[in-house]
Amino acid sequence: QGLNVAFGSLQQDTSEPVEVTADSLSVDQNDGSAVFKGNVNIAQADMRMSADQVNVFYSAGGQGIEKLIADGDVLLVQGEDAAEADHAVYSIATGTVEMKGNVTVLQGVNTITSDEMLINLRDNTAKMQGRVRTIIRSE
Amino acid sequence: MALPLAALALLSTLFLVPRNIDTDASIPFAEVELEQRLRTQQITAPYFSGQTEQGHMVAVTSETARPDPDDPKTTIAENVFARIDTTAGQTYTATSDIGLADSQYQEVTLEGDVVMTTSSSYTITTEEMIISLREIRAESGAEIFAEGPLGTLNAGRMALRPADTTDDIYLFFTNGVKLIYNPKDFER
Repeated sequence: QGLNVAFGSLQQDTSEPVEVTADSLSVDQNDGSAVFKGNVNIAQADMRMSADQVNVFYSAGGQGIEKLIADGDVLLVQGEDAAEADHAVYSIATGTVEMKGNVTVLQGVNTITSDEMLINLRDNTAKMQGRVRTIIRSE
Repeated sequence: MALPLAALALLSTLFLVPRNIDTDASIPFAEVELEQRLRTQQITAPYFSGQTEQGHMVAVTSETARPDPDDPKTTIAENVFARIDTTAGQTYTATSDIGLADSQYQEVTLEGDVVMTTSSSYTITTEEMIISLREIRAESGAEIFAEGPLGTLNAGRMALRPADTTDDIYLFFTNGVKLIYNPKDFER
């Protein structure tokens, strides 16, 4: 059970540089865990993600970023499409975004909601799962 | 009985033999250097090291240190090297052209080409950094540029200090941060 939708229009090149801006970044000197806080904006190619807080999940060996874990008012935009959720995990190398909690996708006049959504930025596909509902607004 | 007397007589003549001791042999300071040192009371290779309450070590050395002519309570150090060793085994070093220390030696302000390296593999450069000599606290007084495991980073300010809630030491980058992570740089 789940709804496949198209999301975004440009195949995302996930080896492009990722830019993260925020009010602050703190790095725990014991385990290196890094947290961006306040007005966090992530940008790669034409993908934009914003959230209140983003935790960094390092690649193996502690060099480089494998995942960015966003929490609080997450908004993902690529091409014409936008998706909101409470929580999202962006795996950079694979170019996938797992969104969870009050997922809402705005596509033209339609609004689709679900509990979860897995987006593949590379081939612009997405799969929504859990209480999927489509709200078609008649003009 | 005669033998000791003879020995005594012999010994006493020893001091009568005139020897000339060269009293004004050359001391290894050039005249001009002597004057400069006197005028500035310059200490070479001064060294400060202290232990914080929690047992962390803070050490600061410099090539030279002398009182600031305009403000004798301030010491001006050149080519400064600071090092912090925490009880958890983390190490931080910082170098700069100039270091200014107040008379109570509570902290040293590093100025000019300040470069800090951390055992968490960050290299942070800035124009000014204040390093406490009493606790683990180093705060930049200017913008910073950093390179590390996350990529390259610009920030308005940086501080190395324990978090407010725990004793764990953090690197805080504040006043707006911008990170560029280039996946290509980190591919194996």
